[in-house]
Amino acid sequence: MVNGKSGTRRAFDPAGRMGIAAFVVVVGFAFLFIRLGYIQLGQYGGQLDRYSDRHWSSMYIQHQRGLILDRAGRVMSASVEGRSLYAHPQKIKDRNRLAVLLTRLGILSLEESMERLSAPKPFVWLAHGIDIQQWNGIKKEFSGIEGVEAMPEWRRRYPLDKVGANVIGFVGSDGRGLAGVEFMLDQELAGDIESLHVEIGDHGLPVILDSQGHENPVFRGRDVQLTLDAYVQESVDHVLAETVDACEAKGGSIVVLNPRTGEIIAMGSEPSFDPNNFSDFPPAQYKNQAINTVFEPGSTFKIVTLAALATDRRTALSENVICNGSISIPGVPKPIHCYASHGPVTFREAIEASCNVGVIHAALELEPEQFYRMVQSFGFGIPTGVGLPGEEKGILRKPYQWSGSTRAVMAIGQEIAVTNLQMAMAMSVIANGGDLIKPQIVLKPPLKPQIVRNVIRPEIAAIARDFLLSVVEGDMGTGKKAKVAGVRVGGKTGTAQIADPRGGYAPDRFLSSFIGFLPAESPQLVISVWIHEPNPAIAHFGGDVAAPAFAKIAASAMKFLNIPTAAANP
Amino acid sequence: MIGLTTLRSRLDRIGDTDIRIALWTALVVCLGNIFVYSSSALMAQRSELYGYASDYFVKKQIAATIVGVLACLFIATCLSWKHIERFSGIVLAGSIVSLVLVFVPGIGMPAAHVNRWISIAGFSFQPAEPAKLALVLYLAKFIADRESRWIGSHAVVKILLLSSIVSFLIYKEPDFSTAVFVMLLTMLMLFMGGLSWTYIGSTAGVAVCIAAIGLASKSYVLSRIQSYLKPWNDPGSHGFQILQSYIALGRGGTTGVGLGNSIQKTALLPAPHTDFIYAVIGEETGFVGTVCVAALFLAFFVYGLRMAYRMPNLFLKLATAGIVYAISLQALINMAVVTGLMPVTGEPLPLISVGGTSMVITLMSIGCLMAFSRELPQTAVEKGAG
Repeated sequence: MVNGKSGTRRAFDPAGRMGIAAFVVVVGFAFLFIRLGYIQLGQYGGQLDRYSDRHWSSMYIQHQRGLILDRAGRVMSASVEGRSLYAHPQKIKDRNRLAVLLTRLGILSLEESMERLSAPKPFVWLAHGIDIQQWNGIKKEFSGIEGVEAMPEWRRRYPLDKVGANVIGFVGSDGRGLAGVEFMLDQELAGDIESLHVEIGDHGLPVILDSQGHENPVFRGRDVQLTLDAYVQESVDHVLAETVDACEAKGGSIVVLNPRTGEIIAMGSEPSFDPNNFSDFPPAQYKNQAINTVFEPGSTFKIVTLAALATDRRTALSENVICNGSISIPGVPKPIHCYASHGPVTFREAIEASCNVGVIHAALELEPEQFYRMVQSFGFGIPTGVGLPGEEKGILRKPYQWSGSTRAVMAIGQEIAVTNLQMAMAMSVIANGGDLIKPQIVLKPPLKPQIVRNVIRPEIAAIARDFLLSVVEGDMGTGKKAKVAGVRVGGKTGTAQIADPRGGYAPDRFLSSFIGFLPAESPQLVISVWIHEPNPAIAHFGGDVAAPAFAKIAASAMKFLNIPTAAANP
Repeated sequence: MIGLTTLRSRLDRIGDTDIRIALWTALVVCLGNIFVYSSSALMAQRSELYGYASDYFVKKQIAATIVGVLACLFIATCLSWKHIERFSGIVLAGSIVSLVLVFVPGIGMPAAHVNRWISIAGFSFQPAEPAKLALVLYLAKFIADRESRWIGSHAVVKILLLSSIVSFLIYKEPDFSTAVFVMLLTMLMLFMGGLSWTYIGSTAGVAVCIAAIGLASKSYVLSRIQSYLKPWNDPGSHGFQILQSYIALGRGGTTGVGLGNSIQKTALLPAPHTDFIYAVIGEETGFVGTVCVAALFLAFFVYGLRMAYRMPNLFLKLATAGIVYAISLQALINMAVVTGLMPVTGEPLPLISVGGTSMVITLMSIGCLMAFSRELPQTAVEKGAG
């Protein structure tokens, strides 16, 4: 075949060469057939079969934490997707370039990034909690760089910043709640972190499927709805911070709750912190002062004395006494002082003006055992059971431990230590007609008040409310500044000296408080304001420090919760 | 362009087109789509990336098959071998431009540090695939145009330069195995086209050097070869794929575990729908299935080469043989990888593996073969039958 068929074509017949190449290919196919037979028909296949078991493993997967919502469904805490950036320093080729890149992106300072990237470790963290939007923007910069990886993670964000921080708490970098509601309801928010049964797949990576068989699902924890109202909480936090500032006080707490259901509408605490950057604040500020701190309540505790007298010594309520500024108790060397000489007062006036002499005089008619049982059934000496972490139970000594003065001074709120929440629950007893309710922070339908016990009869509660009305409305009333436009308010002021650790009472450290309820006819709110250690040079009486704060909070809470004023609803 | 009379004369000759290649292609494509569905359904159903739709891959594959069949029919009926020979240079130039475009931001679509795709007007494809076909056709033309009996040294240098450009661009994507495959095809074309034995020795040396440099500079190639030699030593990493492939084939046994029943594809076998689809075939249909598929490709090879042998001129001989080798060698390499005869490479199984570009281009190659088949001298029996 020297002459090609198409004339101009050259004279080369590739048949021989094609044959040689074809021989190689055919030999290749022959090898293939032999190999197939060897693997699929022979012993080899049987040997391999034992490797063909599917491999399963147990693993834990971090769920997307549930939302924390307020009673109206406003988001108070949410987990958003983010990225953690880490590096394998030994795999990094151009350390300087990467360090410059990290600095340019604002992730780390130049010195810090050089230090971490030069560390003789197989693994270093570069950054935690990069927002997903931010990451999507800068992702490309890292695409060509070996040894730097991003790991998905959930970031806990608090859109309302400081609002309710001391109640809601915060979450650590491992995704576990460390304080407040985040800690209390960690199990629920985090979801059932049970181990997943997963198949180990391609290159030993687990195949994570959800119930529909979809890959890489997002497991979510349960959302939690609280009884808090974010708006009321915001105003409580604001008023509290303002009051603490104005009085140069050390701190304070405010509880707003519904006395019928025990729902906590707001709970403020100072000093506070920003849960988005909780590590920037000293841990002491994480405390929820309303439940984690106890004080001798002072005169606000007279509401319990009042209820005890109305129950067991009704006649004492109509007796008169002359207050000359102090009263001596049999068996106690030092007389107990009143802050003023009130002269002749009725018991009503003694409550109204917070006259210690008048109240002690009447209280001496109570049997110690009787009084103790009343104090105890008001819920003092044991935690309220709200469930928030670290709740204090206060100090209530048993009658056999009492000193000679205890009965008298406990009547005016000394030698007993209580939390603000306990005080608010005691006021709720009077406000709701005699039942001690368990306070609630989680809104769980159906919401039924959890009655702990009936403490006093409804008519006794009505008498007590009537006495407390005159604290705000009477001529001698210490709580006049607690008046709220359009609604009748009842309450009690308190100005307690703070016990000195060395014994006795410090002369210039006070707990100024006001606790009240409204509307007086049918109370729907109990608000308890405690201000710790206001500067006495500015003001220290509960009626001057705490009562105005009460009035402001009451006004805004009524607005936000749609509680009708008397004018609007005659 | 094509005049009316030439068109009519061509239509008269449509009956001379080889129908057996079309039947073979239809059979393989149908089998391919069945196994694409079987191997990809679970994976697609699981992943958000594929919309949790089990038919994600098979839909795309069927769409590519339809486009490919239309292109194949166009080439087989409307073009003659002369058109194909004439346009081969332009198509090759276009392919080289496309290979450059993968590196152009906005047109190239980088995925996981790899630039293998370009996207034009909503369609995306891998330019390396048309480049292989165009190179084979152009080399056939170039070699057939030489006047001397042996390919001269100038021509050899030109051919090697051209192929190296194509190969280098593919190597830079990076796609080492396709780059090597391009050089392999070039060597084959030169060998069949009449390279003198002295040149064969020297070019083989150059090829070995290039391959060695490539090996040394691409660390993943070395690790693949090591895992080929000792897959059991490294079951967690590079030996993993081949080990899982052995297990799949071994589980298949003689008749397989049944269509759709593969366990290896559910989690352990990597790329069960592309590079390792043959292992899924082996698990589900056993030795019978794997041998049938291999035999189909062997039959194609033998039949195609016989056709090349009978072709009337050098261009047709070389072009036919080149296409037949390109398809058969890809298939053989893929099957050899899956059975552990060769180190892991990224060659798909033509007409069977998922891959739109590969499907369309392979079908177009088949279209070229059918167009060429009209030039076969009619044997006495066939003439009598016709």
